[in-house]
Amino acid sequence: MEGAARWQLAADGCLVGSLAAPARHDGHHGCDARLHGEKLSFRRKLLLVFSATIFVVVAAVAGIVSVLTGAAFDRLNGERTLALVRQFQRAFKRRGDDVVEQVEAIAAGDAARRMGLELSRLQPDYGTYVGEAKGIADSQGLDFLEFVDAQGKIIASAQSPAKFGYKDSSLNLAAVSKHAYLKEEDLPQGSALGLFAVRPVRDGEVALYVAGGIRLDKEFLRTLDLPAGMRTLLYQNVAPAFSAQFLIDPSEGPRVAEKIAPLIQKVVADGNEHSETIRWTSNRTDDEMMHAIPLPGQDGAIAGVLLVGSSRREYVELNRRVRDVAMLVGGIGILFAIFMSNWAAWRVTRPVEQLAAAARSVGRGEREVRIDVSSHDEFGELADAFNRMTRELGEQSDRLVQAERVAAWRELARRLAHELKNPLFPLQLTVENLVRAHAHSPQLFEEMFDEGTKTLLAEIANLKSTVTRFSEFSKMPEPHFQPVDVNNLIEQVARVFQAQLESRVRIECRLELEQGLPLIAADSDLLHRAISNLVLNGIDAMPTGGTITLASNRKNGNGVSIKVSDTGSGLSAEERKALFTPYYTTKQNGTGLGLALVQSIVSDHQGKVGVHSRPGQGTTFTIELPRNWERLSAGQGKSAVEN
Amino acid sequence: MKPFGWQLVAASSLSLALAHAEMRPQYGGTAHMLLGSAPNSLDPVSPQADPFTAGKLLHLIYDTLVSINDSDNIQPELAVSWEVDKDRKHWRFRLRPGVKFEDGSPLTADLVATSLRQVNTWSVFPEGDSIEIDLQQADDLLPAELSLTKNAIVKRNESAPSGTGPFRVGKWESGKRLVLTANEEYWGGRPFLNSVEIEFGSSYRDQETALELGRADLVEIATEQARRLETGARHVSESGPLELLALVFAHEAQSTNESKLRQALTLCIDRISIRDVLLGGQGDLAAGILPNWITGYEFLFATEMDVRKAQEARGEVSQAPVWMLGYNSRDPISKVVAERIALNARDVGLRVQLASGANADVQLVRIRLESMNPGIALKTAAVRLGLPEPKLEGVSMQQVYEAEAALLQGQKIIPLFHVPVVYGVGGAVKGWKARLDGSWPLTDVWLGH
Repeated sequence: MEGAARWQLAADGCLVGSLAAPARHDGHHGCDARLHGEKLSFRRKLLLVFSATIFVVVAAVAGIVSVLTGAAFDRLNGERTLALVRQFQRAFKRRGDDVVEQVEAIAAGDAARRMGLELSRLQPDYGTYVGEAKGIADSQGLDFLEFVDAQGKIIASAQSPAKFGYKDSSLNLAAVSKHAYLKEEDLPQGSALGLFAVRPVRDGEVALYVAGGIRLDKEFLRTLDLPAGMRTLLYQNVAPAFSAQFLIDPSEGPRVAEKIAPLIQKVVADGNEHSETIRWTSNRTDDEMMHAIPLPGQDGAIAGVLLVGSSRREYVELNRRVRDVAMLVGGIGILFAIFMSNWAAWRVTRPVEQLAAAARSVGRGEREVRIDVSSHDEFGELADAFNRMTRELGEQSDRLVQAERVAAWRELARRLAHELKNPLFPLQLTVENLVRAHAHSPQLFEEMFDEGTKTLLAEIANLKSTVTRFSEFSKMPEPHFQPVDVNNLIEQVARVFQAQLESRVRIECRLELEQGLPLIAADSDLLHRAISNLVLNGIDAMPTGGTITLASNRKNGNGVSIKVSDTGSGLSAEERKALFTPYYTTKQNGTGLGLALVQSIVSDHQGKVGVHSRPGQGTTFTIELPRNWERLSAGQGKSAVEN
Repeated sequence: MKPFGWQLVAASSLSLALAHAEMRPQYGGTAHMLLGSAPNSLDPVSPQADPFTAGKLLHLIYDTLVSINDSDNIQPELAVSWEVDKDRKHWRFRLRPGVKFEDGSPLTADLVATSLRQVNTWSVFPEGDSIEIDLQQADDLLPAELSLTKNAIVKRNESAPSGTGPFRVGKWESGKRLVLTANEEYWGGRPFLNSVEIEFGSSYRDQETALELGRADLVEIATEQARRLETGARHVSESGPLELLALVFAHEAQSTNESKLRQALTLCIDRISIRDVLLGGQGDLAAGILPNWITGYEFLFATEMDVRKAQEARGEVSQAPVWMLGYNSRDPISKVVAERIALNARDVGLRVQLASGANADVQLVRIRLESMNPGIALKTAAVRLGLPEPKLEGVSMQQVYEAEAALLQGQKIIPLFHVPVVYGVGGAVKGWKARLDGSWPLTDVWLGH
């Protein structure tokens, strides 16, 4: 029973498994995971281990390469930035020297001399020179030019002609620098940053100064020789708050200037160099490493900020390539892992699966199961041990079967002797009485002959009946499986006993049949006999009347359950225990083979039969039958499904 | 007398004769003239971008019935005499006989009346050799009105309009070049010049260069360059200070605060520095729309710069808006003057930013007076400045003063300067006499060598 239950459970699992995965040639249906719930198969564990190993290795290598690459890029970027800054400083100095030279030329020129002489007069006419500054500035290539007196009052201004008479407070005439310097210039259209130089005019009695300069603009930045991927920007710190309009950017392309504001503000605040990666767009290839350098003015205040940008496009693209290669390698590695795990699992689990299949076969009762020993390792030893075990089991089973046979023969002989002995004793006694009577008195013999022969015939009939039952029991045919509708069969049985039950008005027959029961593979005749035997037992158990109930319902999976219940006197525990023992009977005239027949039939159907009874509460016999669909032939099964 | 002495006398006489020959007018030649802007049309009734220059040019082609001289006196042109009735509503102008149009047809009262009716709502009708004009209201300014270019007598037929002026249109390339040929039958006498060739679109710089190189006989000179050219011994002809530089707001002051801010702006502008330095010392400080030399009363309007008062006026207003100051980007000195004004305004706490577009809060404008008659000059100037046209009926200076004071009271205009219109005259041009009204005496000049 226990083995059958496990088989049914296995069958359920395998049937479900067989729906999910095709059956393999060894009969295993690939339902390991289902059979073992959430547990992972050995193959999957191997796959995970291989995959994890490859992933970790590839990720580590990719990460190390990425870090090293980043460090190399940063180092190279730093060197290039430093070179560019030095180049800017050289260009700055060179341009500054040019400005000094130009301003000195103006200061020594005719216009300045004339202006100096004019200023020396009592009532100088500034109007004469108000427009001259622009012309002189243009001729010298200067963007800014002012002539101022000793107090800093503007006499003529090229960039702001209207400022005549106003004082240029940004000029520190008390300490004129020998070199050019950065200075903010207030223009009508807004402030601008310029590189200025101031020189005195040495003609005339009144002091006159020439302040000239060039504007730091895109053209100035374009003079720098930039390596590929680098650019320079200049922020003119001419307003308290950051404004994009003061950022000079010679490069093309849309940039959001506000993104660079925090870096500039940091430099302006502490006067130190700072670096930051600027994310211009959501595309990482547009990132730029910005190095900001403060440019102090004459008074030490930060007049401007030079920004050197180095594109991180190369680095980002290289990083992406590294990542892509890592993913490719990882992908290949995982495929390799899948292959390796499958191979290793096959190498390892195949023998185990073979062993498991063989064990199941042994469990089914197959005795000639052997595993091929194809390796000389531990699996080979295991297979060899299994083979020895099955061989020994087979031998033990043979011996057990032999012993059981002997025991069965002895039991049969005992029962036969017991059954035959009863009628033989009266036979012997009657014959002895007839012999005695014949010997002593012919008249007494005549009187005893009729009675004696009656007794002899009766006992011979008993003997014949006993022999007939034994003969029937021994001639139990092999079941012939076909699709059977259980409910239909039960109804047939009920109809058979209907007449008998109707004659016994105090016995009612009830049917409780579950509709929609699946067809099962069974021998309908044998099953009919088994159910009939149970019904007869039930009738016999209710001599004073009652109710006999025939019920059917679906069992777990696709099996069915048949119940035959009576409302008789019930059975005690001892009676239940010996119920299915052949020849055990509670009836006066019973042979004790009915329930043994039922058990034999049910066993031939791989089913099980059980009894539930209590004294005074009636008895219920339950037959549980599996579907047994595999016992049908292919044609039988197909036509049954179609029907 | 010794022979040497006679030789000396002969040489001196020859020199005097030659010199006198130079002074004597000669017929012939073509005067070349360069101008910055071209007239929109050669029809006097068409609106002009530069009415002053266009008017001077069109007066070479067309005549008016009367004209106004530098002393604001009415002079006969196509009308030789005129009279008005007691009510001063009915005028009669007797036409000059023997005047012909370009096509040779005679000037008639019909044509005159037709020409005048095309541009005016007067009741004008011919009467023999005169025309009579009936007005609904008395208007002593009628003669001055008739001297305006728009009232020039034009014969309009299917082809181009025709005039009676000293020159005729020889060739007209609209916007580029105009060639005028002398009218042989001009009633005032044939001009000495055979023709005048005028090219348009040159900048001041190019015009000055052409004059220097002798490629032009008459050019326009930027006001601020006049003194420089004069000191360079160039012949510079200046009109009276009849060009007004002024700040014109988009609308009149609409609140007390705005009025105070405009007053602060008026008081903070350093006119003297601007005139002496940026305008080359040319012109007069302006307090009114019309110059003092025309009206005689301009001094009654205040002009002095007072930074302290300006700051006080500004201080009375808590928040001042940013004024956008527009200027003519084609006029270099306008930009500088505007920048100076912005600086002056900043000194007293006013925020003025420059804008070269037309949509500004206040505009720096330059307009030239179209007439020497104060009433007409004020009326035409008011229209050009976007001010309400004053209603003037008489020639009383009191009326003109009151009308001008009313215009100034709205604070829509801040007069700055009256500057002359300056022309450079080439050395070959003889007999040029500058006129206060800035007109071109091309009928009286000739080319010498």
